[in-house]
Amino acid sequence: MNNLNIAKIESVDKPVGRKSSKWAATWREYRKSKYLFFMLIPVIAWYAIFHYGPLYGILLAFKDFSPRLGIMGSPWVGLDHFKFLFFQSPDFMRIFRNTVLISCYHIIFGFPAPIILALLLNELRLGWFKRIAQTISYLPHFFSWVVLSGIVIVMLSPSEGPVNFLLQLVGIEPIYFLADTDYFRSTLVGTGIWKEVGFGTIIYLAALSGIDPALYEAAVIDGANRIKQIWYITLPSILPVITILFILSLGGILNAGFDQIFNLYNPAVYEVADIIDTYVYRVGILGAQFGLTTAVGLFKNVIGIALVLSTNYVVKKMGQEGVL
Amino acid sequence: MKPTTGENIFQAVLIVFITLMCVAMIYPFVHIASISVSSPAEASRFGMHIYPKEVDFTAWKQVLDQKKIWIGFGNSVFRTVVGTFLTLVMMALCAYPLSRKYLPHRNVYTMIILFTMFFGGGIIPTYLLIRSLGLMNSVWVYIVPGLVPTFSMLVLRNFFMSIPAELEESAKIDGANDVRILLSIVLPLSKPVLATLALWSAVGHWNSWFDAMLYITDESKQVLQTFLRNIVITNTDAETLGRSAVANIRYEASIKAATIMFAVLPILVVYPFLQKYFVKGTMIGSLKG
Amino acid sequence: MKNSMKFGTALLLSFSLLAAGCSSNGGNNGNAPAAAGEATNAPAADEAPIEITFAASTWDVPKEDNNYVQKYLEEKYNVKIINMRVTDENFKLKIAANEIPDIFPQTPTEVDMVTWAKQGVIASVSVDEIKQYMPKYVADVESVNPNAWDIGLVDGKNYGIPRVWLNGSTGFIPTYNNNWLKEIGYSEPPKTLEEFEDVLTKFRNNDPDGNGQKDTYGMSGRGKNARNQLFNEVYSAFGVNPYMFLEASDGTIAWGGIMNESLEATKLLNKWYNADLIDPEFMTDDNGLMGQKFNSKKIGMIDTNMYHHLHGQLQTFTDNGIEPAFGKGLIGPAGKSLSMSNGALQTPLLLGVQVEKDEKKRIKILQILEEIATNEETYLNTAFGEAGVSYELKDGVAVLKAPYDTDADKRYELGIGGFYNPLIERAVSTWKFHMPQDKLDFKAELTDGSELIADVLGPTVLESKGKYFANLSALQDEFYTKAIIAKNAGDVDKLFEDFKAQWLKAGGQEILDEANKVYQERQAAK
Repeated sequence: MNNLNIAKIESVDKPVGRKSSKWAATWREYRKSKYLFFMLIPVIAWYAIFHYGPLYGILLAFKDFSPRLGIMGSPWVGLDHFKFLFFQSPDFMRIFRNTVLISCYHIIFGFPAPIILALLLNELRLGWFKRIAQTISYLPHFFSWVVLSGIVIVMLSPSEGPVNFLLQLVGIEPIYFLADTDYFRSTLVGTGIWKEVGFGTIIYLAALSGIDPALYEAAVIDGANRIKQIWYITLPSILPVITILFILSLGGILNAGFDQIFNLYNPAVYEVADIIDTYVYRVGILGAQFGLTTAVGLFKNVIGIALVLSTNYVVKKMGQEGVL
Repeated sequence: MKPTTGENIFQAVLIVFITLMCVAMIYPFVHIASISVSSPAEASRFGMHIYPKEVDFTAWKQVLDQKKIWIGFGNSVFRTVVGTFLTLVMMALCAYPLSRKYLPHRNVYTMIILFTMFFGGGIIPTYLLIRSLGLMNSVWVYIVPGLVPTFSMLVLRNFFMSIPAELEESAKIDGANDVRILLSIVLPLSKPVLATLALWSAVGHWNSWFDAMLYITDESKQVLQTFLRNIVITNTDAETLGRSAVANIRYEASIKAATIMFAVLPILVVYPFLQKYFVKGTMIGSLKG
Repeated sequence: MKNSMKFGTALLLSFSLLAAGCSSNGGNNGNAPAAAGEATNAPAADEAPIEITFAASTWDVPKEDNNYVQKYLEEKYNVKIINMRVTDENFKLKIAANEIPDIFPQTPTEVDMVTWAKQGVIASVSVDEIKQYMPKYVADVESVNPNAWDIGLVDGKNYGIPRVWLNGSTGFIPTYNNNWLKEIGYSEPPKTLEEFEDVLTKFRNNDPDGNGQKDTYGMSGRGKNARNQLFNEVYSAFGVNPYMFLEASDGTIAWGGIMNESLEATKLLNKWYNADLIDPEFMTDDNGLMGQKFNSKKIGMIDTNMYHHLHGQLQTFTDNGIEPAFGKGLIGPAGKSLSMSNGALQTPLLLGVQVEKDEKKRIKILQILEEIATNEETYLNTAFGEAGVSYELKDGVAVLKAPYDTDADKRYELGIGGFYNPLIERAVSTWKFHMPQDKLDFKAELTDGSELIADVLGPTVLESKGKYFANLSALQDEFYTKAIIAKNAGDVDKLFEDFKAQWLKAGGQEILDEANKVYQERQAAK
């Protein structure tokens, strides 16, 4: 906003005709920053074409789509798709509930995991061991869910997989994690942690390395043990980072991980695994119900923007730089 | 200070715990690698597979004999290298002006870009657009529509904003324009964060398959992940799985494992070289983000 | 501030207008095959070839344009063929984007057909016209099933070219690992459900492969896709299939999925599952995985093959050291041996709507299709390629030569198979090229005298089906998997009642009513 205020002040400074002065001032500013503006042109053009161009497709949520008539020519149906979705379709409550639940589980269990791991890594004295451990734990992050699903399917197979082999050794009957409604969500969360926990520690380790060692020295002199040091020095020091990341993860609560679920799920677990994004794919692309799925997408976007804006607001309130 | 006994025990426990975690991280890959070079009987044995007891390279031969795997590999490398480079260029072109407070209507431009993070037109109009631009069945469809990842661009913008203004003011006094400042001052200072963003983009490119599924019907332009999916997840690639070539059917588990390893290996090879960049860069990038 | 907001809004608006303009223009006159097809409306001089857009298959897709079969058809029929390559995953999106081929792939279902008929995407073609230009083919189709015309009927108009699948009128054959059967003391495949249970138990517990480990299962099931095949042997023994319309004892049409026989069969499967007789991974198995398990001797019985699949796999069995034993439908509560069959009726071969308006093109397509299906020379050239190069006739049967017999890439180079010949293996007159004597014998041995369970309506168009069926199928898939693996046998009844009520409520009743109405009308017409 600052630059605009400056612009106003400038225009007040130079008492020319009111109207022309405003335009002239703007013109001068643009001339002053012409290089910046030239840089921006291709990018803005790209956004216009690839993001604003297809935007009219949102209309589909209110239309009875017919390929021959196109998006603009298809007849209007008002809120029919939304009415069907909210009041008639048995699916909507289910996919909404699954989406939120799976996200929540990811947050409850997946969020603290890298913090704990970072704290543990931070306590390690052997520098080389710490580095190797870090290198190894980052690794799964770099693979797609296509690759990892292939691996996960093998690992969790009830007849060949090592996980069930180990369970059997301790006397537990084989469990088909990927086809059992009782275990599927846990499997999602578990494999999600496996993929991201290491990579997630990077940011916390960075925050930890920024803590003044003098604080610990003082604590040791005061006779604080390790637990107390963590509780009174380490955690408070990284609390801002934790808070921001937590709030950000709340903002993405309607993104429960399409790639992971899409590559791992099967009809046996639709009941617990079908989320908004997988539904949109199945019903939209494979079932050709484009109006309905656009309505679902629009609903998701509206909730999403509300969540992100409010979390961003909270972050800014806390005195941190927001993402936006 | 001399470590106490308690401290030593704690360290030992910690090392054991972290080691176990590392085993859990690495074992699945070892398991798959082992199965990929196992005989059919060995591959289907219930239990741990740390090394193959009966070595058999039939599966690898079957996978490496598939022309399409190499085509996919080539296309994936293309989109990763070219896509990442162009993305970095476009992001810099976008982030730099937006980070300068004296750009007129800066907030308006930012809002225009932010808006796109939340609303999109959906699959049909995007498809129509791609088609009208002639990107159907072209490898550029992998690159152009995703040229500016908005979130990454904002991270870069925030980083640019944090560069002390004094540096460029002195350059301005020397008569440097914005382009010169970007090239000779801002970008060199941003190497770590650029490396991180490049890594994000590269990982995203290497792992993408959805765009290929929608827009590419020509096999010679498919990416590796698509073939991988057909073999490993949907089991639809009967040729590679050896269902048509009579006796190979028993090798299916090994063939899947070999395919997975084929996609894993390139990342393992470049991983050590990238590591030092992304650790440093992600710290900066994510803290600023 | 206010000004900048206004400026912003204006900018935003102009962007979206500008861009919308761009892309909708593009959508209408892009170089899409459909548009290209429409553009050739005006009849030019006689010799100008008619352009026809083929997307007739999602498999056998030729890699290069101007391949052997394409050139053959173009020269012979004076047409210009445009190859539109599609996959099952992106075809509907292409249709939605108004990229409509002249000849559709063979995979769409009758539900898709109704949707597209109502949206004006596909062409209605009059029965008389088809009969006029495709007399031999129509005679062939009607000789297999005179009801074939029922399928393409939407709102009183015929859509597409009727198709019958000749192999479809045979049943699924339970195939056992004979070495295992001998190992557990059976000299022939089980005949009754009781014997079958005994075989499953021993396949699981008696170490039939003799490796000293309890790592074998009696059977798995096709739980991932094609769910009508899931444990079809067991359901057939009860005289049902959960995924078919069947005639109930009172002469009305019932949906197999909610019939009590299905419940009884499911309870038995549940019992077996809990007794650890069924491969616990069945719910994610598809046909390929089951074949792999059978061939690597992890399961001892497979029920997802028909005779022609099995005939093609004889060599595979031998190579993997398996001696197959082919059984018949198990005798159970239904009181007789029954085999599940897909039925011969199929969704018609659909044509794009532009064909409806372009008479010249329509007639040309019908003529080509007639020849492709019934003219021996055309058939051989499109299905097998060049005589002496890619195939040769042995005793009147076409046999692919090396490398075309094993190398699919080579076949795609030529363009042979279902892409240019969507009526491959669909006409009686040219079927002989696929049927050597040993195959005919094999067919007789496996299928003669079998009584079949088939859907009494086939892929008949029901409007309510288009509306609700996708949902109901998901509901049903879920129920059957859940019921079979329910830990507590007592839960199955409760699950079934819940499922039945939900199924009827979520549109199932409407479908049943419509199915009965259609069925009564048909019966009355006969």
